[in-house]
This record gives sequence, structure tokens and C-alpha cells, in this order.
Amino acid sequence: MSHPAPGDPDPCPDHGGEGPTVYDLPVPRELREEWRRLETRRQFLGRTGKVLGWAGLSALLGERLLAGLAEPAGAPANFRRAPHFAPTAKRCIYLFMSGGPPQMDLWDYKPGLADRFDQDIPASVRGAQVLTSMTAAQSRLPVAPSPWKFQQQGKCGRWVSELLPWTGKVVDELAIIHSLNTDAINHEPATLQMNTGNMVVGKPSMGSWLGYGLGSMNENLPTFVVLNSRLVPGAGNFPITPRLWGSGFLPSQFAGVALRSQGEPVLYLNDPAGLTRDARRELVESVNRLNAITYAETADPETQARISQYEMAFHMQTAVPELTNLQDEPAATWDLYGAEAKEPGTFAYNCLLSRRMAERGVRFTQIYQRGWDMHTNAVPNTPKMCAATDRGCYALITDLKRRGLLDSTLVVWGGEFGRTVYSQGGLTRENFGRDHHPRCFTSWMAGGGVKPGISHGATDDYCYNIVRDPVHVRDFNATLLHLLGIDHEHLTFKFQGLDQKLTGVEHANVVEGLLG
Amino acid sequence: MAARAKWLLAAAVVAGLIGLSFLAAFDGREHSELARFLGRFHPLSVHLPIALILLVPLLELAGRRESRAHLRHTAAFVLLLATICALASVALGWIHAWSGGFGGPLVASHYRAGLLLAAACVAALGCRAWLGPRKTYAALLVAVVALMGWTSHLGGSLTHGQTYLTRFMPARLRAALAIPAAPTSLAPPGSFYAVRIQPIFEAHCVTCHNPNQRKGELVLDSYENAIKGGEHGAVVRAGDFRQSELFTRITLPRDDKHFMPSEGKPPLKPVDIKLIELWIAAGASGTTPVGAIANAPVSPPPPRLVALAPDYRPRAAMIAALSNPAGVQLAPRSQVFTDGLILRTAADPSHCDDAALARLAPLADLIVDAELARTAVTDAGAKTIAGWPNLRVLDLTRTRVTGRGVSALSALRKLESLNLTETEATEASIAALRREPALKHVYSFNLKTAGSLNPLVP
Repeated sequence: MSHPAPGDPDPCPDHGGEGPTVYDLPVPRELREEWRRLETRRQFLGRTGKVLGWAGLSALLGERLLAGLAEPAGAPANFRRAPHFAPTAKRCIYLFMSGGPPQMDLWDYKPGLADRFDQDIPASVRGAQVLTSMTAAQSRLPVAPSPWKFQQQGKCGRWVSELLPWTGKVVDELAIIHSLNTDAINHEPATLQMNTGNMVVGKPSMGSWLGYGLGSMNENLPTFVVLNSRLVPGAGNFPITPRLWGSGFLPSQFAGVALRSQGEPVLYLNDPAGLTRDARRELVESVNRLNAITYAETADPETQARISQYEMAFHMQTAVPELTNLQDEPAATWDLYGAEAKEPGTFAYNCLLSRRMAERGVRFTQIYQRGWDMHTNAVPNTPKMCAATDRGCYALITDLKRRGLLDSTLVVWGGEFGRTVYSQGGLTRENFGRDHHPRCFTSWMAGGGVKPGISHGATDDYCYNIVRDPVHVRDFNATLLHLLGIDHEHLTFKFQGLDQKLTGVEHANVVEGLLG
Repeated sequence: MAARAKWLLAAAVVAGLIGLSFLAAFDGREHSELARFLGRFHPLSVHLPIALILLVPLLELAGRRESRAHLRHTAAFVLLLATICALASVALGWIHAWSGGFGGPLVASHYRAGLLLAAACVAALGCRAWLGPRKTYAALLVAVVALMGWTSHLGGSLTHGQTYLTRFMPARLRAALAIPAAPTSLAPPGSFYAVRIQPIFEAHCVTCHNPNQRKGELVLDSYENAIKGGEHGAVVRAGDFRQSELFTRITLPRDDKHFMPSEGKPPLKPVDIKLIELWIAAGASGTTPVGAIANAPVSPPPPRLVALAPDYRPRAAMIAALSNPAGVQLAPRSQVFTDGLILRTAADPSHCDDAALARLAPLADLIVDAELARTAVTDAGAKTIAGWPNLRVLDLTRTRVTGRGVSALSALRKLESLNLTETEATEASIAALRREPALKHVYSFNLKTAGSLNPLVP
């Protein structure tokens, strides 16, 4: 690629007084030519089409593309983004336990394993399972029974680990799924599959699909907000990336907006000293007018995304400070969430913030808590991770319930896969490690039309294989969309010649047993 | 154009259409989307040549009377039009069949009959031009009409199923013509079979597997016949879907010659296949109740039989006029037009006050769900809301509504959920309201009158 030589004449010619255009940007010539070719094609498809009198049709098709769901015939223009059927959940809060929590230490009680300490798992149980490179070379796969006690909780009498004393109190609200399973065995593809329905990078995240399909309930806040909780010292913190909340091939305005856990929630949101709100408004409007001209020339949907994001940032200048100002919370809130919730960045703080966003019309809030990746030191670290998250989960469910929001808010808890029953590395009574396990893991849902106080599916005695009612990630996501009023087969976006869906091309089923 | 060139052109078109069917067979696969779009015009346009062809003999007959002789000249013109339309319809038909995923003997017969019809039209036209309206021409016309009837019948069978003419025939006529009686199933109406399985058979299978067609001696019009099976015995093995031929046939690769539904008809949806699998696995019973098979996949629920509110479409313009993006928003609860509207205020709750609610009077009966948390609504607003007859869900969290406003809400007979969190509602007013039979949930967390130590920011 050739860059403009230093001796080139004026790099920014003024076109006889008409001013520079996008082609005059100081970028390599090949790139400019590529741009010009693309532009010509767009012009042919877009502008020429209009000249030929297709304006009505192309405008209609364009609207339909953006609308996500089919427009109900005869409905008014602002009615495009209605759910397929009346939903039980208006919004969703997803507590993502990144790293993969150990199901047999928290939810999937296997008392029979206590007698099998340090025995190898039978070959018949492991079957043809391919292990990760971290344990594939191990000479033995010795069973590490959960060192923690379980007790029956709630009216439903569900067995819950002693590590989750708080969440155990709301177990009657939860639908616990023991038979979730995924195709991926490593973090990056597995988190992508949970969040975008596909192991390959580039698909839109669930929150983006919801924004695209259902639109906004409050134009002053994003439809999809991501909260990253601070790290738990000593835990295995596998990194996560913004592509987990990216919009993929959907227009960029549907990507999740991540609020920062420290300092200002959104950088550069506050106006600099001396800039009035009116001046800011004028600035945004001027920039958007310029962008509108660019859009008219290029018809690039990303320009529209830019316009809408400038608008969104302007609205968020007042909406976000109001959202994060916790002064108006009554003392009962702090009694419930604990003092830790006053500290921005903690999981409990994020849970409280997600409740406030639910009240303010944010469609999808996702809280990430990293640190569940227990390859080593599972014995000291599992309690640490539970301590960091347990009370927040309990408080969120309880708070939503007493405020009358749980009926219409779906809460989801879970990671990208489970952990192995056998130890990674050495096994002693005092310590062991657990590797990734995609064949079965436990998640729960609550509220928003989910059947409360149930468990779904079952695993074998080794917590290794599913023996009843498997729920694939696709089924899980199809169920989530169903609760939000969406038929997953019909929320589609045409890309690369395929009607793309969150649930992909393989068969996905709504899990009826989870519906209330 | 010279007359000869015209005939050459017509012959070339017919030959071309014959050639097409050899070049690209109807393989049951879908092709080019543009072609599929064009192909869809075949069922639409095909009725034009039908009418024109019928008109030709009528004109010829009517023109036999001296006083109406001019009609015979018209007949020539109509026949020309009919021929052109027939050729166009065959061409569109080929596009439709090739691109639309059709295949099998029925569609091939329909195409051949159509081609023959178009060729007969050309022949009739030529005969009339050279020999004049004589006996050969008359015979050709009779052939054209008969061919048209046969082609139409094949087309009808393709679209509506091969029993579409006899399906609703009165019992007496049925008996007179010796056509077997319409099926009745013994499966009880509430059974899994009757609710989830029989509709699948009816949508995909019975056009061929019915008492008239009996393809493979299998009839899928009732539970009894489905269990009875076909020429190779039972097709359903209770408890074992993998050994059930009915199940294996619908799950074969689409290009397998044993795949069902055959002849390129649309395959069963994954949800349908799953339902059949579950039904067989659970014992293929005709009486198991619909709720007894756990985890049966759900399609989107059918549109509500009970309307929650009147259809909102007639008032679309008013809804648009009263929806202000910055304040009060009216959104449909779903794409079902009688599911009512949600009143949303989250974007700017402080701008929604009693006056804003009063302005919504013309739409009062459409609002099913009112989200009024943190708005400036007071008891006066609550009185307005009490006149919204179809309201089911009302959220008044953190408004200035007091016990007086809550008492007024007892007029809402359909109200199911009321949220009074952090309001000034009194326990007495809430207790009175709880006696309403429809009201399932009242939320009254942190009431200001409850002597709470949590004073709220005004």
C-alpha cells in the first residue's frame, strides 16, 4: 500500500472553493479507491433505484430491515417494534459468572461422591470426551467430591451449598437448570456461544438482538447496558472482551454500553467548565446535520448509528447521573444489599444499579463477574467468589419482588460452562483444581414468567453427563427470547445470504418446563 | 412482422418451454430468490388465460347467429390473447416450479398439461387462420377447453391437496358417488394426539394419506388409522421413535427418495418433528392428556381468544398524535392488535402529570398496562385512571397518590396487579381494594404512611 509521499502537492485540495470531501482524507490511495468503488455500488443500488421511482419500495424495505420484527399490517408508524406475542418479561438482568462456576460445589448436590474421593472416574462415564490441554496429559482423573455441605432450602426443599447462604433464602423464586450444556470447552468460544449463540466472533449479542427487535423503552438510556464487576483478589480472572456485548452485523447503535466500575461511569460525559447545555445541544445538532449530509451521500447505516449515538450521549448526560445517584435509596435498600453495595464496582453495587435501570426502562442489563476459573486453588477461591456474589443475587431478587418488579423482570444467573468433577493437578483433602466442563452445568432463571421453585434436568452420579432433559445453549436462549415475547425463529437479520438468528441454524426449542 | 415469422416465433416459444423442462428438472430444491419472487405470479396470472379460453367457444357459438356475426371476429382476437397468456403462464409456471422447491410427478403432470394446452392453443389459432372456423378447429377448441379443465384440476390439487373437491362433500352425495365417508377420530379432544399431533398430520400428510389416496396404504386422518399403519405394517412403534417408520421418513435427508412429505411438498418444521418424537417416546397414546408430556416445544401461543382491548388500528392516528417521545409513550403490548397498549413514561416521568393522563381519554379503553412510576400523578390522576375500563396492570411507585386515590381505583374491575411502592397509600385503602376478585398482586413496600423511617426525597 503506498502512502502519500512527503513531497506530494497540497494533500487537501479545496476543489475550486467547494471544500474537501471524504476522499481527501490523508489515507492511502488504495483505500480511497476502494471507498470510491463501494460508494459507486451504493449509489447504484440506492440512489439510482430512487431515481427510477423505487423510492417507496426501497424506503419500505429499509424500514422493515431496521424494524427487526415484522410490522403489524395497518399499525401506526411508531408501532413497528412490538413483540410477537404479549411477553411475560419486559426486561432482563443477566448475571454472567465468567470463568465457569463449579456446579457440583454450588447447586448440583452429589452426596454419593463423598465415598469416591481420589478414585479415578470410570471410563464409561468419561466416554469419548475430549479434555482440555490442561488435563489431557494427566495420568489420573481422580474424583474431587465437594468439600462443602449442602442443605435443603425453601418450601421447595432444594439442596443448596453452604457457600450460598443468601441465595438459598430465595430458592423458592428460582428455576434451577441442572442440564445446561454447550459445544465449547474454552472460555472465549464458550462465552461467545452463551452471549451470541455462536462460537465464531462476529455475531450480535443477545442484548443487541433485543434492542434491534424490541426497541427502546427510554430513549435517554441505552437499551443494553453492561456492568463489569471488580475483580476478586486471588481468583482466576480470565479476561473478557467487548465483543461479548457487540452488535455484530446489526447496526452499531444496538451494541451494549459498558459503564465503568470506577470513577465516572461514562468517560467525558460531563460538559467541560463553561459549556452550557444549550451550547452542547447546538453542537450535537450541528454535528448530526453534517453526518446527515454524509449519510445522504454514502447511505452507510454506520453513519446513522453515529448520529443516534451522539443523541444518546446527549440524553445520557442527565440520565446517567440521576441513575447512579444513590442518595434517594431508603435505608431498607442498604439493609438488604449490605454496605458493600455503596462501593461502585462491587457485584452488590451493580445489582442495585441493575434494579434502578430496570425501573428506568433499560431492556437488558448484563453484569459480568469474573473469577470463576478454578484450575487451581478451588478450595480457597470458591468461597471467595461466592462471598462476592451471593448476597447481591439474593438482594436483587428480594428487592425486585418487594417492589413489584420481579413479575416483569427476568433474572438469569450462569456462566459459560461448568467444571470437572475430577481434579486438575494434585488432589488433597485441603486443595484441588477443577478444569472446564461443557457437558453439563447449572444456571438459574427467576421472575419474568419463569416457573418458580423448580429444578429442571438431571446429571449422573458423577455430575459429568446429563441423564434427563438436556438444555442446550440454543434452547436456553430460545426460552429467554420467548419470555420476552419473541419467537426466536422470527427474529432475523439478513446477512451473508442467511436469515441470521440468535439461535443459529440448528434446531432450538423453547423449554416449556421452565415457563410459569 | 410477416405471418410466417409469427408462427415460427410461437413454435419456438413452445419448443423452448418443452426444452426447459428437460434442461432443468423440478428437483424439489429452492433456487434463485428473484425467480421465486417472479414465480409467485403464476398462481395469480394463471386465471387470466382460463377466462379467455372459456370465452373463445362462447363467442364462436354466439356468433353463429347472423345478427351477431361480428362476435366471431372478436373470437379470433380473444384466442390470440388467450394463446399469449397461456404461453406466459406456462413460462411463469416453469419459473415457479423450478425455483419454489416443487418436485414429483404431480407438478410434472401439471407442467406437461399446461404445455400441451399452450400448444393446443397455438394449433387452434393456426387452424383458424389457415383453414377457417371448421370442424377441425371446433375439435381443437373442445380439446383446448378439456385440457384447460384438466390442467386447472392438477393445479388445484397441487395447491389445495388432492382431496380438495371431495373433502366437504355432503354425506348423501358422497354415498351416491361411492366416496368414502369423512374421517372422525376417536382420540378425545383434550389429548396430546388431538391437540398437538393430528394438526401436523392434517397440515402435511393427509393430502396423500387419506381414505381416497391411501398412498402406501397409509391413512393419517385419525388416531386409529395412524396406528394401523400401511402396506408394510405399523409405522408407529410406541415408545421407540427411532424404530418408527413414520418418524424416520420425516427425518431423512431431503433428497432421499423415501423422504416424507414427498413430491417436494414443504417438510415438517423442527418443532413438529420434536412433537412427534415426544409423542411416540411417551407411548404414542391417543388419550394421554395434552399437559402430560413434559417439555413439549411450544410454538408462539395462538392469538388470544379473549381480546384484552379493542383493536387499536382504527385509532392509529390519534395514538401517534398523543404519543410524545419525550413524555408519554403509547406502545403496543404485542403484534396482536387486541392485546392493548402500554403507557410508558420512563423516558421523562416528571413530565407526566394528571393533565397528561386526562388528555388520553379518547384512548382510555385501549390502555392495558400503565407504567406511571415516579410521575407527577396525584389522586386526581388516579380518578382519571379509574375510568380506564381495560386496565390490568398499574404501577404508581413513588407517586403522590394517597389512600383517597387508591379507593377510587376499585372501579377498575379487571385490574390484576397494582404497585403502590413508596406512595402515601394507606393500609386501610389497600385492604379494601384487596377484596376485588380480579386483583392478584398489590405491592405496598415502604409506604410513607406506614411510619417509615425512610423519608423520601420530594
